[in-house]
Amino acid sequence: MTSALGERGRNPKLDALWARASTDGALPPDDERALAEAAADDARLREDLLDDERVAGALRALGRGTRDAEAFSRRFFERVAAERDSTGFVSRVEGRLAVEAIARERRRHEPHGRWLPRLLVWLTLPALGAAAALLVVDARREPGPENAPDGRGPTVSGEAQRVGIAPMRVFGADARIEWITGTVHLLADARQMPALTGMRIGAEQGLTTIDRDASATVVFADRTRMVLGGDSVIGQVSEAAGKSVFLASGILTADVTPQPADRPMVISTPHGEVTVLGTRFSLRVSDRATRLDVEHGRVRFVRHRDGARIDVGAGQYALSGLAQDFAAITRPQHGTAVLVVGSLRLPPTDALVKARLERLGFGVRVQGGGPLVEDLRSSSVVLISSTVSSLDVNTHYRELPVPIVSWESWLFDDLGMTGQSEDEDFGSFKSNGEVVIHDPTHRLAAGLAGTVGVLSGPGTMSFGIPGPGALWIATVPGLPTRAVAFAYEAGKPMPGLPAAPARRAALHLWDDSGPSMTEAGWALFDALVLWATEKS
Amino acid sequence: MNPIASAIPAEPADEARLIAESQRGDAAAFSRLVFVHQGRVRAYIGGSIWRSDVVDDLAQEVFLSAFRSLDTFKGDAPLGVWLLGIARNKLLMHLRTEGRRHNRETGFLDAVLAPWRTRRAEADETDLAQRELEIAALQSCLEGLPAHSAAIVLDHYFKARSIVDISKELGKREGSVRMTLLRVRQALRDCVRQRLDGEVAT
Repeated sequence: MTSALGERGRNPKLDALWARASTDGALPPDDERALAEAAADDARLREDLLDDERVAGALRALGRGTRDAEAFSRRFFERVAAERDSTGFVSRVEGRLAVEAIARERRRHEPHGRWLPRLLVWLTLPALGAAAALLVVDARREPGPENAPDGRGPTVSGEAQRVGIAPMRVFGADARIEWITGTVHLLADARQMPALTGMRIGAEQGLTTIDRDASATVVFADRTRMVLGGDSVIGQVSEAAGKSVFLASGILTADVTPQPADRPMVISTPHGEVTVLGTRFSLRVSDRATRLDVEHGRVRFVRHRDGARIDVGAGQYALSGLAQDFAAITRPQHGTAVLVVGSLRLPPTDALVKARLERLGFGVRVQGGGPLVEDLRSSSVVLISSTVSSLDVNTHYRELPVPIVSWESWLFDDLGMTGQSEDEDFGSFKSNGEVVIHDPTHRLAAGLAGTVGVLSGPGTMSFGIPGPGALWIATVPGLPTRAVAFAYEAGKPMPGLPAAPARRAALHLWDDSGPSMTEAGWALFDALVLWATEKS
Repeated sequence: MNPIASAIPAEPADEARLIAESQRGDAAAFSRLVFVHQGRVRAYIGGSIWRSDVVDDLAQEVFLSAFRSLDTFKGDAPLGVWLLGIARNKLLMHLRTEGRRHNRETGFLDAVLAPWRTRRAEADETDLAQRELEIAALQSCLEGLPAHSAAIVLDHYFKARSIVDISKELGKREGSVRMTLLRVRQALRDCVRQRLDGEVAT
């Protein structure tokens, strides 16, 4: 007789078979038969398997529930909406969920060769294809934010208010591809084909940019433009009772020509839906959230999860899909500064730098050293603190086409800003807290001149000896060939690179010198950072 | 905090209000309740059905049925238990249908276990509150797992990482990782039993 799992004297072979069946969901036929026969003969083993199955199944479901709780509740919400609408809403929702699932798979880094055919299969499913062929924006679609009849903001009524989503059907669109960079595919009629400039996007068709650097510009007859960024997927491009697009993943920037009040443009994502009459905005869709950034005009943003709606104005952004408030937030004036530090617990100098950046109007994102794990190209500036390990950061940021300000002198050579000899081309030294302004007329001097106390007392400073292409801002007193603040314009030659990929700047700050920085020191810091983030 | 604990949604403080709004037909309010309760409903169904798509479809049916018949919910039992009652009915219907199919196939594990799964679901009728407590206890026990066990559970069940990936990362054989998971589940079962015994005792 066998014994229960996990007990002394148990049959190890049965344990191993069940361990495999309960994680993989299947066994080779002979193994499955052996386990089945044992379970049929032994009530205790059978009970044990069922007990364990309950736990394993519950864990799988709980795990899935934490990953997709929002998508699950949205699916429920949309099914209720479908029941309340008999105009083909179900097909649209199911189709969208299918694209969403494919986009999720793509974000798991699957190569295109694996996920793209599945998208094409989806595009050809007869039921969904039929639904797509009928996709027309319902005449009951609500007016956009600019179109509120009584001037009190957006109004909604009836089913649309109840479910939070305007019902749609799909027709073709009078849209064509205006410009392409990199590899872009048109998805149509169960085929993938290289997209070409001038190609028309018809009903049921989608577009995907194949890699991170690819992009595609789509233009409608009224000159409304959409730019699809890298690694992005759109589908359901339509222009019947109003333009509509489903952005499954990636980045889309739209410059929308004023639309008729009763035919707003609608862009849906897995997490929400934006409705516009004429504006410029961008959407970024990840597996967890959709971010809307509005440049001009106003955009209505509806969150799928609960139908909540907000108006997002120029200079504002909003997120749908994360566990934070669904609200229009004013964008930081200078964009995002990425602060690279040695410890995310932020030692005092790094904490002061972060606060200073926020006061300057940056949104600050803090991250540790090491290889770049995400695309930083949308950041305004990257600041690399001396608290990082230069071995971790190494040359990872060397080619980054984003302005960099650093005070880790052991990275100056890795960034190409100086030669490579430690203590000669770069290094640190004990200072009396003063620097000499090299060119007081230059704006990077922040209006300072002569010998200036940048620290309130003696302290360590970093230094470098930049190349001839550099702007010299400040030097060490008595050592005019050692710079404690210097910079390079984008494109200028540097000792380690033929051309700076973007503006580069170096500063005297050190691990522990933040608390002793004087107003003059911070003025120099501000000038360098703001200069670095300007368009050169 | 154990990362698993932070991943499980907390029950809303305003559940009574959400229920009242849902009873007036507000799908948005009910979808908030779906968000909170979907984990336990899916966990209950998932305890008897392997295929995740079937589990999720049944769970959706549970919430749709619940929303349609919410006027019959009087609050005599907690909403979570009431939902499990609906889930049990859906599960039983599914298992009985599958059972008939299995009866035509012999020699496979599912065919052997199917009738016993159905009997268990039938027996749940008088024990739904207990089942809800078990799932709650399981969530609670997850939080108390030792770090190594928590990491492997988090990787496989919560991050959906394959056994192959985990074994490569840990430098262990796949069979060893599977056995570790089996042992952790055994420990979780013991923990759930102890917690429930403790609650009965108090």
